[in-house]
Amino acid sequence: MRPLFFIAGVSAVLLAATLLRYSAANVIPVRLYRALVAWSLFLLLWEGTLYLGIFSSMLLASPSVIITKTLFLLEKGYLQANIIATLGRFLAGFSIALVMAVPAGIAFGLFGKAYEWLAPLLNFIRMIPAPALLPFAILVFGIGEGPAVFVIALGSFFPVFLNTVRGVREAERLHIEVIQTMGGNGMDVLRHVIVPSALPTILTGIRIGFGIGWLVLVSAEIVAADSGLGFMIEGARALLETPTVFVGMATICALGLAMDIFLKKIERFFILRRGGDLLTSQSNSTERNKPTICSEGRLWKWS
Amino acid sequence: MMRASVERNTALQRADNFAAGVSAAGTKTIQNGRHVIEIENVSKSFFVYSSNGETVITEKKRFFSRKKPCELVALKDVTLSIDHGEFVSFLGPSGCGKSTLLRILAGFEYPSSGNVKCKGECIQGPHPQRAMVFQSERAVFPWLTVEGNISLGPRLQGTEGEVRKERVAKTIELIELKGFEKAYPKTLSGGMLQRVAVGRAIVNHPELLLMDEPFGALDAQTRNNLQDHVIRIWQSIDQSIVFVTHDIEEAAYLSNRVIVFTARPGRIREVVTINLPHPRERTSPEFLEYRNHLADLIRH
Amino acid sequence: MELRKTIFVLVLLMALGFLTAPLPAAYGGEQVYDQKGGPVDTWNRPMEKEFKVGDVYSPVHFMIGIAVAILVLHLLKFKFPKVVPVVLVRALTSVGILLISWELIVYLHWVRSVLLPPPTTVIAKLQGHWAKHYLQIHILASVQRLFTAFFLAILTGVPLGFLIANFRRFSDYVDPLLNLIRVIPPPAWLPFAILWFGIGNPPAIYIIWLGSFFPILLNTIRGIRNTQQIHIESIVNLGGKRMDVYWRVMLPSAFPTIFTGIRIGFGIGWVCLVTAELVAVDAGLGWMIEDARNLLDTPTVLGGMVVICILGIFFDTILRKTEQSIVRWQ
Repeated sequence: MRPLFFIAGVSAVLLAATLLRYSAANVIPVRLYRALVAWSLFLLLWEGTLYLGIFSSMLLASPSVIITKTLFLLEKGYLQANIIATLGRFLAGFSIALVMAVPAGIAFGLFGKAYEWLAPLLNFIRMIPAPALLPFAILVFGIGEGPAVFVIALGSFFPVFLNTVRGVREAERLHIEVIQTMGGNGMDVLRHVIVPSALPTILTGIRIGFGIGWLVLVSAEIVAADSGLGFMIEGARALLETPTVFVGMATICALGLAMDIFLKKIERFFILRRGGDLLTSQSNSTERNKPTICSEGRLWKWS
Repeated sequence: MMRASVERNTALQRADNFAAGVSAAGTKTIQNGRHVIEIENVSKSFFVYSSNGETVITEKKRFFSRKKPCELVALKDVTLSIDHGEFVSFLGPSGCGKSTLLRILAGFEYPSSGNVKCKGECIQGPHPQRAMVFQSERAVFPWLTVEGNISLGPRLQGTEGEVRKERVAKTIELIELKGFEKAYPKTLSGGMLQRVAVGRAIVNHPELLLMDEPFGALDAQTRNNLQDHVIRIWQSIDQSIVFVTHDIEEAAYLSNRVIVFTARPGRIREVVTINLPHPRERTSPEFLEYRNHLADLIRH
Repeated sequence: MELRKTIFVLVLLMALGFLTAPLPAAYGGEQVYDQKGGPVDTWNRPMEKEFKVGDVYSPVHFMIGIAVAILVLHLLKFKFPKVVPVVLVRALTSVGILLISWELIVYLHWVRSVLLPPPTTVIAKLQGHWAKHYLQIHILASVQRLFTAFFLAILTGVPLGFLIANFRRFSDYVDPLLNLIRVIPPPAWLPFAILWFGIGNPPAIYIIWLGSFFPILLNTIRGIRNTQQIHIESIVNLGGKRMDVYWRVMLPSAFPTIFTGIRIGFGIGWVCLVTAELVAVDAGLGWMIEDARNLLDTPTVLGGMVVICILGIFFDTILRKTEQSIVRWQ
């Protein structure tokens, strides 16, 4: 893609949006319009400085070059291979963490005494940042899949585990007693009270664990892998292939965003079905749904 | 027609008001004719826009909106004046606009039409001379101690040093919270918190004390105590109090004059002057007569 | 009062961060620190003979000693239940049992000591590093880097969050761009940062700053947006001006949320620090363990991990205590 095409395209979008905004204000909401303005000005500035040669193209790749490079890498199949390697590794590590953390969390949540004895030790281990285990993991497993999967599993284990324990321990005593008066045994209590009531907390833990796992994944791939997106950007950096670095970063960003949105959707679904409030899931949109006296969204209106 | 009757009412009552004020409070003087607040033909309406689950209430019509808003008239043609040193209650069913009128007096909202004057000048925004006690005890700042909360007003006014200390100490004595100066609000009960809120309002010696259902959320016992408290405070300061409530007995027990509002849109239904000396007996026949009269007005 | 205290604590911590800056951070072979303690190579690594299990401390004595210590602790707990805190007993017991079993599996030759050196070896190795000032150099390098980046994050995150929360127009323009940067995990910036700044402190500081910036920013925005309307009305009613609303209401009421953000940001910054040190610098604890890994020096790898963990707990405790002492009203 030519830089000038790109500049012209972005300018055209900006112009069209502005015209629409000022001819029929209701077609484009003001927030969307402002976001569009910010985005296109940012892209224009980025492309423009590189086009005018203000920054060296060795250090910074322009958007048009990144698009071209992405298409090239997709054509060669290099990007797909790395995405698959990264996703496979991540899903392996993350599912190991889930399979271990959720049952363990439920067990320790049910047997509070055991948890109280183990909590100090767990807190101790939790404070080791997962990437710090990388050198040790490389020694044990060698370069390749092993260290990355191990470190991702460890990084996402603790948020899931701790949230599961918390969710199970916060189950209503009253609800358990209701099941018991109806003649339910321990298994029934677990199935009908503890797991459903702990579910939102567990899901929040899974989302936090996902965030940490994703962060750790990238560092693991940079240090200790021979494939994957992290490896791709670090390798490209060593070869001074700046556009590939940016393609990799953009791909990591897009994948992370997609998975985060997916997990948020699941979380919202379960919380809304229970009739709970969405405050725990920290979504921004619910805050705006409160009726407000001042339409401008300001906190107060006297100056 | 409505306005005329209100005018006649206030005119008729002005005469015996003076006697009532003096006999009720002893040292307290109600200066009839010296208006602190004049409310002239005040109306207030809101516009409600709702679209796919989002409800926005605005004060002005939106210029660029294709949707027709639903107009909500909170107050219509209210005319009233409040004298210096008076204790006035606004009584009415919930949603009748009495709180809105109080917020207009405080300066948080502006009337859609009509005039509100404080000592002859139009109200332009909030002013420490018209101190407000809010409905909820959450209005007390939780990050400041009792002393910090009360001394904040003088601090913002630029009162420093000994003067401020003395004033704060006097106020704490008045609201009977001595010994709790260093306590944080989380350690206090709801009734104590409301007393802190009252103290915070009176420490600046405001012209007018505005109270927005301050005891609505409290239990009956605490509420009765606080009502006596408010009367004592009112008698020991020189200012007037405007008290919003939906509790008939509370209005009858506290005030010199009860302004009864109709349901939405809020208009003044009647102004009832209560000629009973403080402290009042809740079981005396005269009190019950006033109470029943107010109850009748609210019901019909 | 609260405000003054907050600023005082922040300035104190910042001073700590900047005071450590001029201290000699170890930059590769430029300086040779300690000649007395024995020979060092060009990277200041102490040159020593290989450690064998049981060289310095006897494994058997170690295990018996810890077992006795746990027993004594429990006796003390039994005798003076009021004096000895139960949490301490539990913590020390579980850590002690872990240490004994760790030592035992190596002692019984269930795992190879090259892969998993026992605690005695790790302790001896750390002691040697400490004596030769090798450990201190790397701790200082890490802490200095961390503090610089962390305070940069506070200095940028809190004011920017304040602006975004208060000015709708500003936030509408800035939010979309910040959201773009937010979803990229900080380590993914590493190659780019190295490309721009070269190997050394700047890329590491950039990564750590990025890691701790967003939790601080988001929590500041949330805290300030959650300011109660009634509190603002109260202060305006008492005669407060715009600045009073900002300083006397918004800041104190948002403070607990902001501090939570600072703690989360510190945690993420700590993770990013280690990552950055594995790749982008030539000093610091992360570099130390990665370097030891290259030399197959497992005791140093494990010892470094323990030191990182203890430092993390130490800083987290300090932050938590600070929070508790400032937010007493909650």
